[in-house]
Amino acid sequence: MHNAIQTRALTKSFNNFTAVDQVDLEVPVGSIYGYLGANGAGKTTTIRMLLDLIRPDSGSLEILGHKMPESFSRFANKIGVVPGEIRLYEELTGRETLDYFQGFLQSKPILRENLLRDLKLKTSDLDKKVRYYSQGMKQKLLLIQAMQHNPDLLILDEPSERLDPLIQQVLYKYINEFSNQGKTVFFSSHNLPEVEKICDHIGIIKDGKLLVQERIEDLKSRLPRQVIVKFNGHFKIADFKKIPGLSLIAHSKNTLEMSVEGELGPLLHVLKDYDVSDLDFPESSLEHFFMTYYRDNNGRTE
Amino acid sequence: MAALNNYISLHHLKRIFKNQHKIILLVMLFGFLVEFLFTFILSASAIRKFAESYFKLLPPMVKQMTGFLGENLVGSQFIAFGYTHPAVLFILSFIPVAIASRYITAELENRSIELLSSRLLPRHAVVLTPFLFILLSFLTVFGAMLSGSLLGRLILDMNEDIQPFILLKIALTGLLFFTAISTITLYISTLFSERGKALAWSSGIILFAFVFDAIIRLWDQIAFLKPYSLFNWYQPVNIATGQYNFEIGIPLLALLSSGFLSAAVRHFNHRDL
Repeated sequence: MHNAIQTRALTKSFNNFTAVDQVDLEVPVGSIYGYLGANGAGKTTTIRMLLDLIRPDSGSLEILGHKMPESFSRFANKIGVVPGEIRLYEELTGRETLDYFQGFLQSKPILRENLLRDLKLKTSDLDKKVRYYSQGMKQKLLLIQAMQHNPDLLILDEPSERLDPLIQQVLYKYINEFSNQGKTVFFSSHNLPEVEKICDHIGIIKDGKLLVQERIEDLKSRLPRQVIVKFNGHFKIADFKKIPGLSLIAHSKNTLEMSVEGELGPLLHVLKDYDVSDLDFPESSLEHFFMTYYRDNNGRTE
Repeated sequence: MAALNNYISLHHLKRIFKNQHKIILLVMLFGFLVEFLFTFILSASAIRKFAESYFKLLPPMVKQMTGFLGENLVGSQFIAFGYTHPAVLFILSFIPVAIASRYITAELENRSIELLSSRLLPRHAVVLTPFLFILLSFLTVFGAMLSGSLLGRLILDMNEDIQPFILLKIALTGLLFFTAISTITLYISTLFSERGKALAWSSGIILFAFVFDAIIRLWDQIAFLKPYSLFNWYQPVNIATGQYNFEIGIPLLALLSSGFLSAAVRHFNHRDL
């Protein structure tokens, strides 16, 4: 099994609106796959099809080597899910919630205690009814129920929403640990810096169509980077024009803004002859690419 | 047991029971007390005389509607009326409406179905487990009602004999009738994704069936529609007087129950959640 999740021409429409259109997802085993898109792009509909909650109009999907939906019950205990916008059972306590969802599975909640400690959910919190939980605590509870049985595949729909930055770091640590153990994390988000930070694969969906899907490093290596250099004193623009892969965007008396494709080595080689006061990368190459793609659907990837 | 586990989730059933056992206990107590009260009224002469005077005062239309036509209280009919009193019907009808909308439609509305579905809980178990709970609830509630009648018959000084077998037939018919109601509400709950809509439609349809039955009873010209009225097939007074058509009533209620239950499971298995 090469891919933990694989879809072929997955399509789903609601009335006349095509929410997911011919999507061919390939999520390699052991990867952290960031599924990126704006609100309403089709991320959640894709996830709901992966979970057999909605049935595709056409196309096929396989999870952990099993064809869907026929064999969903065979591998459901190997996955952990954090759905978006779920309302937990408010009449249950935190502990009862964890026990309840774990109770359907044959496995044991081997990671529960570690997760409780790291996500800072105290015993006294677990004894409270969920109706008294803050949004952040509810999200922690959802994360624990998804990961406590140490699943082979984690499907997370915008999991860091409502978490404070410290707890977000804990989540990223767990995601990395899962990946290091050969487990797969499918991570839906509209937060690009987050995806760029923790994922090794990326899929960008817009208007139901999967625009891009590849390793983040491979994608980034081909994308132009925006660079702003400030000099103490003047500079010769001709020195920069001859650098291969460099396009000038704007310049003033002691500032130069440019776009660089490929390695930064040639630029740095030229800059060492100047007195540089500041070097800035105002937005990541991925962010620039994403915004371009989303604006005009015409990003350059080749 | 293994076969049962394929269709019912005992783990899920436990949660429903934990949430609802107090309500069911209250309904059991209510059913027991109501039926005991009816035997008490029948036994205590002063209250019985008062009740008889009251029933004499009732307009013929009301007597016709309730199926309680006697000028004097006839024991078995009066006890039977206790099983079809509007308050009893209202409370018993509310059980399946509330349970089905909460444990099927609300799971969709709150999207907790996403976790249940990813936890090896098959879709049919989401429908069949609340159904089993409703069935068990009605079994215990009718058991409590029957106990109320039988205990009253046993400890109170009754002038006339109320046959336990008739009471058992009333309770079992009631159980089957409310099973049919339950499957209708289950089916309605599988159609919607908002609990409010499921509640409104289920309550509305039961209310419509009740009013339809009342109109048929009051309006002689359309009395021929009686066989098409759902509530016509739960007439404890007719059972007590031997006028209930078991040959049609029981198969019809069984057919309705199995039909709507199959439709609910089938629809929920195929719908988008």
